[in-house]
Amino acid sequence: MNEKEFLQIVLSFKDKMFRLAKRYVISKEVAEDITQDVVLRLWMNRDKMKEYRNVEAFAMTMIKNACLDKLKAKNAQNLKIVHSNYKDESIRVAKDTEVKDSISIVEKLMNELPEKQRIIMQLRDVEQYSFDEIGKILEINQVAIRVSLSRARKTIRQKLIKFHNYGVQ
Amino acid sequence: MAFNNIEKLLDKYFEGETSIVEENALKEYFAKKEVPEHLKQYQAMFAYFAQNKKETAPQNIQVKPVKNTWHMQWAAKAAVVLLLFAIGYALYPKGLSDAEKKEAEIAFKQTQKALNLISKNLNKGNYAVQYLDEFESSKNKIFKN
Repeated sequence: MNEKEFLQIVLSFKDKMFRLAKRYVISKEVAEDITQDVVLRLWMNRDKMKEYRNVEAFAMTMIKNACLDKLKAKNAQNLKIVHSNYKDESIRVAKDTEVKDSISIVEKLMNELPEKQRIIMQLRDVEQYSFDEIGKILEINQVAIRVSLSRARKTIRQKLIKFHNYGVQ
Repeated sequence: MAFNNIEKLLDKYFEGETSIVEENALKEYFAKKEVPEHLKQYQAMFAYFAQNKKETAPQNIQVKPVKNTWHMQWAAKAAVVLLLFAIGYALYPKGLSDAEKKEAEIAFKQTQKALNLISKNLNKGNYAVQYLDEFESSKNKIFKN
């Protein structure tokens, strides 16, 4: 596989990789590093890429694993790092709340979901992957995906209704 | 699309049972400006999904590999060859070739000759000194000090 072919393939889902990474680690900078790292690893293994029928799903799985490793390492080092990133984000979003930017509130609510739920929501509602593809990326069965997705959507709805009724001052 | 349909679709959506096509219909519907009051809270949700999909990776993510991989490979090969030479040289018995042996012999002989010459001349000097001693003793006899 030459550079041109490689670029064509990877550029088509580079943004999806970045968005998935960001949904995992919340921090934009860390997501950037992880995406860069996975792209380089794909380049190193470009000869094997032809063997995979679904390169995109394979790349997304690599992102998932890299993010989980990163989160695990950070948790082992210092429990607060990830958490504080997360907090910073909420503070930023909280400021937006004052501007009554309801779209940012959805972002905040989504990032508050349990990891599995928010990742499935990302892959389905944002990236519009089929359940089959999500199953391949996350290596879980489709029933579990539907259950988590339904829970995630209902949680967002519930919190949005609450916000809609009492949140707007 | 009628409200009735939308509400049915929403129910299905929250159960996780809608297809991509149906979800797109929902997204399209909520992208409109005028949405009934009781459905307004869902607007932000679908709007956020659409907005997030537009977020792009920072430009500085390089898809291009590190430029010097090519040079590095050759450098590595050269280093390996050099290392093999060095090891070979260190392990090879340090024998001298015939020509070198002859040359060394000639050099040895020449050195020997030179050293002989020096020692001969030194002996000559010795002889002269002996002669001087003789002269001194004779002089002492004459002057009797």
